[in-house]
Order: sequence, then structure tokens, then C-alpha cells
Amino acid sequence: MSSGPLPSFLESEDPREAELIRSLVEKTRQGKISWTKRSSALTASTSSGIQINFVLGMQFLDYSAGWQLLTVRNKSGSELVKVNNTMTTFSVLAGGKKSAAVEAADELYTLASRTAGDDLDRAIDAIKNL
Amino acid sequence: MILTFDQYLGIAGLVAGIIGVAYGVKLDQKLRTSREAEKHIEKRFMHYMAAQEFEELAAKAATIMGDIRNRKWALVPGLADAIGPSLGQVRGARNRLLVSLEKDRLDVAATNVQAFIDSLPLMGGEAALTEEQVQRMLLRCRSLVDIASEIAGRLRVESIQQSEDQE
Repeated sequence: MSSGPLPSFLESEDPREAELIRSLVEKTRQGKISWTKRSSALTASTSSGIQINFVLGMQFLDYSAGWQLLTVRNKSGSELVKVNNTMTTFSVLAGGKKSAAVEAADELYTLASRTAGDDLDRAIDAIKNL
Repeated sequence: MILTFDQYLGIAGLVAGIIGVAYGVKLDQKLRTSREAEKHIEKRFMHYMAAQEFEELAAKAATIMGDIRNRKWALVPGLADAIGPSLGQVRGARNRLLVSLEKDRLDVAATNVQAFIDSLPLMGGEAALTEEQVQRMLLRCRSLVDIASEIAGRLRVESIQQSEDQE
């Protein structure tokens, strides 16, 4: 269930995880999933009750801001997908390549952070519609 | 119409029966109310205890950060080794009280704490640490301080609200 930027000999990724994330990318692109910006997270939920959370944080290798964990849960709260984006010194030294799930999650994060609305956006819209 | 003694006795028995049933119903209601109150108190206590545990966790992580800032390196490894199991214990024990995003943020904090422990210098190696490495250590502890404090605050408020509701 869990995947991250690990060398291939440590990796046991289910290809359906990347497929699920790619379908979330597609639905976000179509505007069918709306994302909400929070202080240290980007969250969304679908009409079928699927809950998606990106936990944001600092990437310790290059100090860039980004996502550290992506989880997708079903209606009952069970984890469907959990993707870590914690690139460790070990994984870099081992020549770790990003897994398909991490690459798909990167794409989803970029798209989600572009489309996510926060309270300020909502306030601007509300004032425009006065 | 004059009633016979047996009929009087029958009516008296019926009245006694009705009173008995009414008393039974009242007792049952009392029992239910006391059970509900007991459950309420248990829930409040659980929230209170959980809030306390998360507060302690945040305080421990903040102490580590303080020791790093003050360059009290001798104290850091012991505290750092203790915080990992404490975090796992609280996360596991209070899982039911956490919302999904809190669980995720705690998982990230746990990863950061582990990375922090791995980055600690061996005895005597502190002098070689650069300012950037020290800042990185502080950042790794901060996510735990933030999320543990937030959860403690939420649980504390919920515990107070529950006692207000009960009143």
C-alpha cells in the first residue's frame, strides 16, 4: 500500500495505486474534484465519499516546499493509497528513482495546488458577486 | 352493585400490578440515564487524557528544540530516543479520536522525527555541525510540535464542550 522514492529492490508497488492517482488527476483537470487549501494540507473529497489529503512540508534535501504524504481513503475511512514523498539521503545514494505512484502524485499535487481555493478566494468571489 | 371480597382483591391486585410496572419503567429509565451519564463521563475523560498526552508530546518535542538551540547536546539523544516510542504509543492509543488529516500529519511528523534521530551527530561530532544542519534538525522537530499542539487543543475544547453539554 505504501510507496515512495525507494530503490527498486525495496519497492513493492501496486500498479493500481498509480492508476487511481492518475484518475484523480484527470477528474481534477475536468474540474470534478475541488481542492481546499489548509495551513499545512491540500484536501479534497469526491461525491462518492473518497477523501484525499496531501500533507505539505519542507523537502529536506533542497528545502523546497512540497508535499510529504498523499493518502486516499474510502467512505469508511480505510486507506486505499498512501504515498510518501520523503526522499532520504539513503534513497538518493542508492540511486532511488521516483516510483510511478510518486510521479502521478507529483502531477496531482501541481494541479491541485493551482486549482485549490482558500478562504481568501471565496471572500473575493463573494465580494465580486455582491 | 356490591362487589364481593374476591372482586376487591382482584382490583387491588390490578392496581398493585400497574404501580409495579410503572415503578419498573421508572427504574429502567433511571438506569438508562445513569448509563448514558457514565458513558458521557468516560468519553470526556478519554478526551481529557488524550489532550494531556498530546500536550506532553508537544512539550517533549519543544524541549528537544530548546536543547538544540541552546547547544545542550548531551541531553538531546536521550530525549530523541524517547520521543519516537511516545509518539507511536499516543498515535496508536488515540487513533479513534483523530480525524484523517490529523492521522496523516502525525505520520509525517513521525517520519520527520525518525529523520531527525538519524541525523543526530555521534558523541563529540556536534562541533562539526553547520548552522544549516542545526536548522534542518529544528525543522524536523517542529512538525510534531505543531500537530501535537493542535490536536491537544481540539481535544481539550471538545472535553470542555462535553462537560458544558452535560450541565
